[in-house]
Amino acid sequence: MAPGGGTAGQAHDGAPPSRKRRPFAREQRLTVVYGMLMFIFILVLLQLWLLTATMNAFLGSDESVIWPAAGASLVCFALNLGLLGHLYAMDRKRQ
Amino acid sequence: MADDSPDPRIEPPGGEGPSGPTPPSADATPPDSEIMTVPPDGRALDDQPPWRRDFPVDWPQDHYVARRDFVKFLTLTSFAFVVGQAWIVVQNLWRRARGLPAAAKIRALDSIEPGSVVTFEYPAAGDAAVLVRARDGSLVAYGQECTHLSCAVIPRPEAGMLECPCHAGWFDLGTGRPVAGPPRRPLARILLDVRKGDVWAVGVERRTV
Repeated sequence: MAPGGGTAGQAHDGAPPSRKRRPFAREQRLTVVYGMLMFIFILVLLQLWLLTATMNAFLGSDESVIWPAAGASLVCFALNLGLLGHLYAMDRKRQ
Repeated sequence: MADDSPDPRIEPPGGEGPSGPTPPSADATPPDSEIMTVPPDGRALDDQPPWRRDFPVDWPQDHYVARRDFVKFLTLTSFAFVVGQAWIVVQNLWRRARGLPAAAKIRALDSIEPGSVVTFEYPAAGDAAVLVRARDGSLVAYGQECTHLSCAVIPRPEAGMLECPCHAGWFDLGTGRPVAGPPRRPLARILLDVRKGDVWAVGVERRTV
C-alpha cells in the first residue's frame, strides 16, 4: 500500500501503477529477439570453429584439446539454451 | 537495506498526475497499429490457436515469428555441434582402448631397390601405406591417405615429394609435411625398424604440424 493511504490511481491488484510491468509490445519483442539472435549467432560460430579445430587436433593425435573444447561447446550451448528459455518466457508472458 | 518506498517527488501517493489518477488501462500493452488482419472468430491474436499464431497474415507479425523461429533453429544447430564434440570424445576413447598397433613385417630389405616404392597395408587391412627407399638407401614410409580429403598420394622419389592428384597437394618426402596445395596436416608417418634384414612397421605417428 502506498504511503498516504487511498486507493485512487492504483491498479486493480493493489500495486501502484508506476510499479507494474507491461508485457512487451511486438516491436519491443522483435528488438529483444534481434539482440538474442546476435548473441546466439556468435556463439554458434564459435562452436563451429571449436568443432573444426578439435577435429583437426584429433586427426593429428593431439588429445590435449578434446575435453576442454567439448566443455566450452557445452557452455556455449547452455548459454544458447538460456536465451531460448528467455524467449519462450517472453512469449508466454504475452499470452 | 535499500529503501524501496516510492519517492513522493516522482510518484505521488495516490498516483495522481496533473490530469487525475492513472487509469488501470495504462498498464495494458497498447494495441498494435501494424496488425490489421482480424481472425474469423474476432478474438485477439494471442487468443488464437497455435497454428494461426505461427502463420500470421500481417507482415510485421510474420517477421517476428520468422526471427523467433530462427533463434530456435540456431539453438538446435548449437546442440548439433555439441553432439559433434561428444562424438570426437567417444572416438578418442575408442582409439585409446584399441592401443598401439602391433608390429608387422613389410618386406626383406634387400628386395627393395634404392629409388623404388613399395605399397603395403598397415596398421590394419585396408589402411594403404607406401614405403620409399631413397637413392641413398634411407627408408621412409607414410600412410597413403591424403590429409585433405583422403585421396591416395603417389610417391615421386625423383622429385623428393609425394603428390596428391585430386587437388594438387604436395608433401615433402623426407618429413611428410605439406608443401603445396590444400592439405594442412602432415601425412601419417609409419615408424620403421629393420630386424634381421627385414623391414618392419612398428607404429604410426600422426601430427598436426
